[in-house]
Amino acid sequence: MRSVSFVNHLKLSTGGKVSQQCMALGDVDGDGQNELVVAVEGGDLKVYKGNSIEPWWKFNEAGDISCVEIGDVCNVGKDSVIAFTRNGPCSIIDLSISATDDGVSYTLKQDRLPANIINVLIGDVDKDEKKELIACHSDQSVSAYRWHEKEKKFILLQRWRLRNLAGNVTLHNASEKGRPTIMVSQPGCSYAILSVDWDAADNVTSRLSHCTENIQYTPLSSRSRLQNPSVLCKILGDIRKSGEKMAGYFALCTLDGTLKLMEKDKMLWSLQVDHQLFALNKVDVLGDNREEVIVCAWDGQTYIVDHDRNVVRYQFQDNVQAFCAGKYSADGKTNLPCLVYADFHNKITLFYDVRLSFLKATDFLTVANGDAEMREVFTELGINEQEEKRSYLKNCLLTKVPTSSNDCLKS
Amino acid sequence: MSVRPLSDELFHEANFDALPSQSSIYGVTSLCNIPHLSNKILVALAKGRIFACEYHKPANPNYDVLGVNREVTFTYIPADCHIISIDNFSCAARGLIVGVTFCKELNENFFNVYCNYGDDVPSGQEWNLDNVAQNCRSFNLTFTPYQLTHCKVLCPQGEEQTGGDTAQVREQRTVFILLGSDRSFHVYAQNEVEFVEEPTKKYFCELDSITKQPIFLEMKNISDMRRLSIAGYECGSLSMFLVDSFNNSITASWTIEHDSPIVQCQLFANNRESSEGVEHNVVVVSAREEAMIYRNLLASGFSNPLVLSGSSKYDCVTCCAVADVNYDGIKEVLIGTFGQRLLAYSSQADRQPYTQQQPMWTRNMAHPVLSIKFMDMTGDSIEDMAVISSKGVHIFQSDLVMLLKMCKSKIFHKNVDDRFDKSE
Repeated sequence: MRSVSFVNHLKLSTGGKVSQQCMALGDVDGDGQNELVVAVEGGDLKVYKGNSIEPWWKFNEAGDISCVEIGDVCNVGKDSVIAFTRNGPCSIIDLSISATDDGVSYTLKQDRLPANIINVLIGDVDKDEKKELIACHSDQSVSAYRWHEKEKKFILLQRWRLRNLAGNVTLHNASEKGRPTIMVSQPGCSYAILSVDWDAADNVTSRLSHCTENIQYTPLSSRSRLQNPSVLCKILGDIRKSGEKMAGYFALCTLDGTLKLMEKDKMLWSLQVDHQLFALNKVDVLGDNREEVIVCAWDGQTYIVDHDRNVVRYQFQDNVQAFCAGKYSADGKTNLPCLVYADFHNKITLFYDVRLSFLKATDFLTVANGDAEMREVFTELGINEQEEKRSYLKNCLLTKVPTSSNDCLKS
Repeated sequence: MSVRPLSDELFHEANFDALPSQSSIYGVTSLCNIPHLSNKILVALAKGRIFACEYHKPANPNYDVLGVNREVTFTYIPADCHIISIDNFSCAARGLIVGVTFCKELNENFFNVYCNYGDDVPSGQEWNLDNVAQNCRSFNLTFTPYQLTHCKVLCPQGEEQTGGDTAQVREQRTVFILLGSDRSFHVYAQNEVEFVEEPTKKYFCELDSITKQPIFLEMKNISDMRRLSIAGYECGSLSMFLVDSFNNSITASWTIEHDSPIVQCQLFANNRESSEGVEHNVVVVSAREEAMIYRNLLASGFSNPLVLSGSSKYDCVTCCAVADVNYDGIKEVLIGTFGQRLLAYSSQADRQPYTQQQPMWTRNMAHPVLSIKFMDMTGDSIEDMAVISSKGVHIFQSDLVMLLKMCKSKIFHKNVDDRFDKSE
């Protein structure tokens, strides 16, 4: 398995521990460049921007934050930071760069939701072109909300109660048309699909009670390894296949080291590793408009896997408490793929340029053999043996400008 | 800070393998083009362990090439020692020969030579690294060893009477040269049975009676009868000798003073046809100064330097290597620094002395660079760049898509899209 080293990084001192789900990457101030939002144990919310190691903005009135997300939850056309605390209150913070002075101005909206939100997603679930909030609680329930601007509060749309503890929730477009599906990971590398039963007018029947009917469980059996049925599992949907298409793949990873890539309900491949995978992310590191799957283990081992199961490893030098991957703009001009590691020493290491030119280890002969024009040249000159091809290619590179293609053979 | 597209990179990191502890600038040797042995790099670590870094090429073309590190157990190297230097060469009679110097405790230093000493070695085993690593002769040293290197030399084999004239019979053989803290060069040559220390004067008249502390030696036989020797000293002195290797006498010598220790020098010929034939140049890396190329050594000595500008900006300069990395027929010089930077310079520049040359490519590294080696690791006959850093071995490949494009443009007579000319 190929492994690489990453160089360009920022070392950020957070002054406290950062738990998983407490880091998010996104554009919070509307300048088109992504920032890193970190919620530190104890209640500090910090926004890092550009190549500065000092926080660009700090906030400490949000409470004991358990989960942070960036998204346009209020449907105002601009992403805001939304922070959920362990005991219920949540804060929606809309940041902007003030034109008059060099400071940052913010507006704060606060509401109270049921406690113990461990993971949220913000997305248009019902295709009404407005975004909803799906919150995953630590007590087997998942609820959907919509922000009501006039009443300044979240309105409950639906609530689901699952059979097992939910790992995390994700949104996935299985086809080009139709509604996206809400997927929740279940222990033992399986997942449940939640369906919505509210309509555009918010007429819902099951608003107050937990519904158990609108859930479709899809356990996955693993032939290659005896799957521990209670092992923690993470799910991630909408992994981009190509530039144009909406429909993508989705992936599952477990704490006992299984990574699976799925399309619809079919498993494309699975990968088994000897590391405890706890974080599942996606980012396009190759720049080919396909998103690679990034998984990270507690010991810092990170795998970058493409859709054809080519793997590149990176070993972070420390144990990892929280991990996320996405895009970040260190130079204030371009968003580049990045990896963010929070260790147990109150430090965050942000690798802000993790672009790779290829994933699959290869040599020049393989590249030449894979090229149609080159294969023609080989056939024309009657070069069949690997050894002959090798020396032909080398001579070709070393000769200045051959007058005929046979020159490379002669020299 | 601007974002550079990946296609502008001269090299891409193909593999990085971490090593358990640090090596040194003398602790890396490459095994290249040795019969029955795939190309590999031996990295000697401070904690008494030696790792071989190589690529496995699977028989099935559908599988990827795979870079691997494995530990090679060399006998008689205690676990708590510090390996200082390592070197290897091969000869037809004995096969592969590896030399390792290490210090056990303060003032307890040893030089181990590994090769097949017996005559009853099964055929092919003299090239087997693991087998060679089990046969050792040890020398107890009275000095702290520094660089270990080797050179092919004509050595006297007694005198022979031919028709009244006494002609000296000379035989070509390779000897180990070990630099020591006793301010001298020690020569270890093999006789019929084993390696023995021999007087330096007998082989290298230029290395005798040195008063300064040598820390790097570079030698090259530039023709059958002539040898260029360059010694770098801790005080910053650099001396060069043109030696008549047949008579073992100095033809010419030059000296120049630098301000900081000479860490590495490398002789290279750029095939510029001058009146005297091939032109010889040397890259000189001095720890706290800009690296320099002294050009056309035989004609102008040290009087025509080309300054590799910007190489001293990143902490100590630790190493250099020379190769034609962009296949334009002109050699490039790679400089590695402790400040985690790799820099590439073209060796082609204005002929005026003290011309400043700007780097054509730089790359940040994750760890301090200790050594750079150019060799074909992946077995495709294209030279890869192996960079040994304090944390492990990085293998860099040229941009293979770009190479293929160059190949095809030469074959199909298209104009070469020469993106590397941008820096000039």
